[in-house]
Amino acid sequence: MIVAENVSKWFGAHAAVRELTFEAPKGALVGLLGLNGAGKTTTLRMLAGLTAPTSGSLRLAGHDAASKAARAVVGYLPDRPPLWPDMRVRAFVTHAARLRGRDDQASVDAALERAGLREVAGEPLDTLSHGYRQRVGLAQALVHDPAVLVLDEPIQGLDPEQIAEMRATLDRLRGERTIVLSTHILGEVARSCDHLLVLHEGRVAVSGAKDDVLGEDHALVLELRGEERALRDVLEGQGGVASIAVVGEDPLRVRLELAEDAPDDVAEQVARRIVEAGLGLRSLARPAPGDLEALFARLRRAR
Amino acid sequence: MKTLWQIAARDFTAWFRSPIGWWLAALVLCLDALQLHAVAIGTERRPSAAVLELFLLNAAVLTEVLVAFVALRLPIDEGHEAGALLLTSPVGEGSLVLGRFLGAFGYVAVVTLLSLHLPALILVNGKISFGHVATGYLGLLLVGAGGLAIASAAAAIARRPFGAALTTAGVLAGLELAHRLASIADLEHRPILRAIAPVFGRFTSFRQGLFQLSDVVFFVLLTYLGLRVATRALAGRREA
Repeated sequence: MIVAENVSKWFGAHAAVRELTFEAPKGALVGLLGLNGAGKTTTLRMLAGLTAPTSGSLRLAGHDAASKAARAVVGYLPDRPPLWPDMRVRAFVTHAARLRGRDDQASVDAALERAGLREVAGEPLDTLSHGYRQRVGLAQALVHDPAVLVLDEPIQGLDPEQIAEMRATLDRLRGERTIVLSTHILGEVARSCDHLLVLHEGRVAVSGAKDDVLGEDHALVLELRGEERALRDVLEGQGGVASIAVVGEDPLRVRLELAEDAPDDVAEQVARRIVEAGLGLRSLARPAPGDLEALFARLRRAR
Repeated sequence: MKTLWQIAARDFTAWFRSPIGWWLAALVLCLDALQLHAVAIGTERRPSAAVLELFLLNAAVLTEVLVAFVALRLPIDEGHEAGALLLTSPVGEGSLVLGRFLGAFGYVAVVTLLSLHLPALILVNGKISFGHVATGYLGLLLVGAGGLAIASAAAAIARRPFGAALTTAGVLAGLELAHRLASIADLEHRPILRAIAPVFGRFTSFRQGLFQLSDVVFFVLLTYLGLRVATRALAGRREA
């Protein structure tokens, strides 16, 4: 559905995105991640047709992303929902539908329903809360039933209840259309997305199915009562352990990087050897995907 | 074509949904009435045709001022109001620019035509022809169209409301000042400088009640050129 091949975007002498290559199949919910300045916004703007790539090929449902035909199959929700505050909700969504060539009220009703706006359909936009404005932004992006939905920070500024509703809406929307969702919150991505595209300094750092990307963290994190030195002696020669490193400033919290060919029961073997050596094992865990910082720390280490 | 009218209709009605639209219309109409009584009629005895001529000249200047304010609403920027909706819709840049232009022109035309009761007073109480009034108002609408086309180009280039308004005001003032400059200085290009001034140059025939095709063509070309620049600038932003 989305095919990017060596896409680059230059602003003068500065490359915001370099040689971006990825594919997102129909029905995928792609989490677009990256630190500030990584190139996320530029990538989203290219997907939405707001700016054309300087080089490379970016195609949406077979259309060049910079073309009018591509804009007809994309729905875009920027970080600040695009609204005319002088309009009422239904009138605004109807206007958005007509701009996209949809002149039927059924499309408008469906979009209002999907975005949970039926009860405020007659309200002026300037009286709505941030959460409802975000929903109106979603409704205008959905009203023409696009094949590709591009969402920039859709949960930013929402309260927990609204976040849960947005998640439920995304769950309802996935399947039929490809969704690209940008966020700083890796936890949200881990929960909602099935594909990841991680950008770093304008380049693709990681991309692929979420399980493949997040499952790559072959490591164990241990909390001990004893000494790291003693642990090293105990685990010397332990199959499947590639390296041992202290995590942060606490010398009793260590991280074991596992080898690619580590046996499935490596955690059991490590625990047994530590206990048999008389070292206190307070906890042992596989690191869960945490925040974006943790992911990038791992990427930096990998380099 | 349908989306073009959709954009124009939304922008046109938006002016009448906002207090600024009403305040601006009220201000221009008040100033029109004031200038008729205080300047055009004044204390000097003048033939009614001269009164109408002076009224139309001042009204044309006020139209240019109105256009500079209207320019505040012409930018289409993805970070401003629903600019992202327009720019991500499958609508060509030409339709976006023309739609917004027509919406704004509709508003300027309504405000202009609402002042028709003022020359009607001269028509009733003096000796002027209906054709003089009609030609004068055709000229006012053309001044509005030309000014708005410049405003559209300024909005596409400046992108921000105040930038668009200031650029529009600057360009219009520059064109009018060129005419004044040509009047006071012995310049080689005096005819050209005179010919490019919308109000003090090209509007002269209209305020005198004369229909000159060359002046109509000037305003049509100015409008076309302004809209063309605006369209190119908007398209260029996608490539930038």
